[in-house]
Amino acid sequence: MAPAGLEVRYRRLLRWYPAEYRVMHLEEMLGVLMAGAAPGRSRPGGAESADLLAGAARIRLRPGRALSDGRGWRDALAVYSVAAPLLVLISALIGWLAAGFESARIGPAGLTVMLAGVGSGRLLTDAAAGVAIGGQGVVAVLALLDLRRWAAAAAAVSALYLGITAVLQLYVPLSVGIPISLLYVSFALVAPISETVALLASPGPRRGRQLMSRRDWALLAAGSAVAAALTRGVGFVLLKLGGESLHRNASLLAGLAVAVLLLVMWLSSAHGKRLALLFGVLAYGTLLADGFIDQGGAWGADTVNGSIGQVLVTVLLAAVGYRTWRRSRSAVGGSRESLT
Amino acid sequence: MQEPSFLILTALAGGPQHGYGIMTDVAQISGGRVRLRAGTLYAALDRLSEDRLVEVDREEIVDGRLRRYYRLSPAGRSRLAAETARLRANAAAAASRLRLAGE
Repeated sequence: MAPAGLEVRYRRLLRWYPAEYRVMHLEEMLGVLMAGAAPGRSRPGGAESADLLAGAARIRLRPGRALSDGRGWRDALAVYSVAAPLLVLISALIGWLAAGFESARIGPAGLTVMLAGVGSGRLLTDAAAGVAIGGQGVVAVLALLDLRRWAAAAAAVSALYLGITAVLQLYVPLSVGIPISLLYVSFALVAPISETVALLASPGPRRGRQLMSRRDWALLAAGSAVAAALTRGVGFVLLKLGGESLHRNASLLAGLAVAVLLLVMWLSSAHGKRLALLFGVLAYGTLLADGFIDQGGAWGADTVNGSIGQVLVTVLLAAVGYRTWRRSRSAVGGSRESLT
Repeated sequence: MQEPSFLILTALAGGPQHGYGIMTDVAQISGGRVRLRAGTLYAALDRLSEDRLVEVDREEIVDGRLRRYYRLSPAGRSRLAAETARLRANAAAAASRLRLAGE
């Protein structure tokens, strides 16, 4: 009979599998591993350990049934409905505070220019700043109070205001004097529109709060703060510390931070995979919008440099989209893979 | 379809089997050429279940351990038949070309 130490070591290796998979298969896999173990063996071989780790990685990376589970999606939207407004608010506040901090150094004239490059600054007159921060604040508070329909209405009004302001500014010149980019607005609209949909299509923020652990809150808040700080706040600090090139790379770092966070969410569980997709779309919108603000609304050398981070998030989303499409195609029409 | 998946479906075509049974059967079917390890087997079974090509037949407790038996689903049987026909056609074409080249 194989020694007990071997079983302990197998159990240790099987911890790399997702929790929900272990609930279903741990004892079964352990039985298979122990049945195949040579008599007197006390530890798994290197090839066997590598095979188990590779198997765990394959199962974690695979979307599985996570993307076709309707009830799971409703729960993920519930989490999104309460978390997204708060995260966008944190992000906008950090940008606002960074502008205030910077204004002490550059004076009122510089602040006007700075506001054009911070948060929703492209649209900024003070009224639009109110939408960027106040609008998300109202949605966040209403969502936390479980006033689902009111929160959805506030998010919809934010989206409408943003859209209408953008169109109006095409015809009415701003005192700030920077031309508006409709492409930027289309990215900036991702947050209020997706929040409206999530609030209306999910069981609501209360259900979302029930599903969120403290660790989830900490992880999402940290990701949002890091991305916002890198694109909006710390960018100024980096400019002082490392000069222009480091400053330009702030959005690359932001994209990397968000991509790592989304990957961790994706690998964690089926619920995490759905959240990674939803928050990936949010990150896609906000990071791309920031790229347009930071670079003055035009595609240039700085934009290319700063857009690498945004591209990482885009690639992550595209990879998931491609995988999902391939799986649905395979399920309907059968795979065309050849036997290798 | 990858070879491990093909061999797992082939093993299950003979009747329901548990994980260790599939591993030994695959080694036998392939003449010892393919030896599945547990990580590869369960990743393949997970994908095949997800594609609804295999399904759980029953569970037993043997010597205090859970033993889960898998069986081929009707979709898995059709898929294996289609893959077998495709391989047979390819093999026949290759044999025919080799005969022509040898004459």
